[in-house]
Amino acid sequence: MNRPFKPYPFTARQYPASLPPLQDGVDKIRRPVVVVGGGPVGYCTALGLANHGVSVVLLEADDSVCFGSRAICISRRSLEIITRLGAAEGFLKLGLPWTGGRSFYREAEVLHFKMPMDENQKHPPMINLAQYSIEQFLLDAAERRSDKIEIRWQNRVTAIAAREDGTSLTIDTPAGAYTMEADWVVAADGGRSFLREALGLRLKGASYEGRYVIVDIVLDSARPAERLAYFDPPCNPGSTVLVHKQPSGVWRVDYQLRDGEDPDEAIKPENVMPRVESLLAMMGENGAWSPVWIGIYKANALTLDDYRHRRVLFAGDAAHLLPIFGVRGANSGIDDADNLAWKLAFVVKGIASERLLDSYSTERVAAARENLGYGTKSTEFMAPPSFAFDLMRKAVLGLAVKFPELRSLINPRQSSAIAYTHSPLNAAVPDAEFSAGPAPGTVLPECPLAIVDGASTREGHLTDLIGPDITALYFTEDGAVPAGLAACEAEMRARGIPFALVPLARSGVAASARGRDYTGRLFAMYDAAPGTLYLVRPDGHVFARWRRFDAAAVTGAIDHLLQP
Amino acid sequence: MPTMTEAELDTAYTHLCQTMTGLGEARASLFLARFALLAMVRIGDPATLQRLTDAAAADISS
Repeated sequence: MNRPFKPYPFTARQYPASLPPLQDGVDKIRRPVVVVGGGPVGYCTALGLANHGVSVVLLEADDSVCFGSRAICISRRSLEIITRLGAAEGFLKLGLPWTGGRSFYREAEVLHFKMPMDENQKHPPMINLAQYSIEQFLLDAAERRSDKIEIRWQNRVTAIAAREDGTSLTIDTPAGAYTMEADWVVAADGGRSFLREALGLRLKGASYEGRYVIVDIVLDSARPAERLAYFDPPCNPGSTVLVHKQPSGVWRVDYQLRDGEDPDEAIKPENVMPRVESLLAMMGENGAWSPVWIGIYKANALTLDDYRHRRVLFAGDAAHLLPIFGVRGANSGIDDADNLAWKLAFVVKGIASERLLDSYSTERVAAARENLGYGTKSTEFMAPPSFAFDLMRKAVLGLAVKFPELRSLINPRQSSAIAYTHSPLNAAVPDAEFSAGPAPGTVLPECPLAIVDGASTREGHLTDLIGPDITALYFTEDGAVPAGLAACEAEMRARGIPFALVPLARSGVAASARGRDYTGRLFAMYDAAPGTLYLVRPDGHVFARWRRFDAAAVTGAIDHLLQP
Repeated sequence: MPTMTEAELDTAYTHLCQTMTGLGEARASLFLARFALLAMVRIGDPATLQRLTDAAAADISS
């Protein structure tokens, strides 16, 4: 039973190799930042740097965006970041939003989970979108920023010398080889990172034996997008099968190999097709289908101990490898990029000390360890690493219908925003004054509000007000700002620090208000009264908050952020 | 009756799985029997024990 393969409903543009102007084989210009790797993480880093006014060269070894089935889920937090990067339109237009999923054991539904979704949210908790589309939309945005971002296709790094004062890269292209000098290098060159290997750095953690076959198919079906998990299904006894709908009629099917199955045999089309056929029959999917792509996957839970090596900063899969279960791979990489871009920009612009970049490593290594913890738990359930996990899973699945209190053990623990609770950047302010709202280190909870722009007002959300700045959210009755706070803003701007004062009004509309709490929910959500002040980093994490404005405290918190 | 958070249940579940992994498959049944006995004396309520025993046996399949 062999079916002819169909191509993906996507055609990647191919780009020729490019070389910069050279002098004796060396790029004439020493670059402030070079990003190695044109994947989601590389593009997000480059777009972030461009947003902060820093020029960047991005080196990509291939001649196009990626091919095949890779990341497929983009989280709400990632959408918030991508919105700030000016690239969200395509994601939201093409991506399939979903809010939950179902798990089945044999023939019974044992879990119907919902991700947090309420009227305050701007974005769905998750969208499904193939990585080639993710990269294409980010590439489109990067090409719109060609004033700051230079992409060099078919540029493969073959050697690196990382020094205390800069980095030399040797690059091979079909048009010839060259070397270049950079003040800073971002290593976003993926799970098999050449830069990581060349610098002798080691990922640490666990690898799991359980293997999953990944099959993309095109299928004619009106079934809605949700995460479907089948444990020990009648169509494939003893296995676990995951199904995700993607845009343009593509469906992603992941199924676990049985113990002792030979991976090389398992991915042969003649062995894959019957399993997909019987799965679709079990699901009641009778539409026409064709295979598109077959791959194999083994879960890893690994990270570097430090994401900074001299002037090389590691991000995404180059820094950590997370299991696919829980969709933390690309999403944590996008969070890395968002954390790194503003810090690197501030250091390049000379308004922050290099120690700010050490906090990138501190915060994101801690985030990776939290992600690894969740990812490991998901993997232990989805690909049991021993007879004991397998036996206990069978017990959970068999009892979950009658005993709902066991169902949380089946929950896939989907990716959610991580708080930098113990970050060295958080201001040392007693937080006990607040009984609700985001504590320092936490991302902003979303809330609808009226955005005031001069004479016009439109409906928007709080995160729309976060630009590439340190933002002061100042809660007021009518938008009026004390003279001391306006002076503080002027002082920051005079020091070259991108600082945005955003007054939020509860009722009135003074000309200076930027947002108005028309739902009446914002002030309660932030435990705010007129006079409350939140300081927010460019990546949307709160780093200080007070009940009342005090100029010395605000200046001190910002100085601590920039010179930690 | 004390209640656990989902995270606490998760942690206890993982600890049990890891402990059983360390003991090995040959001793898993005895380990689970000993755990059941300790849980019985801690639960300490005959009617509950009767109900839980019946529930654990109901619809059991290989």
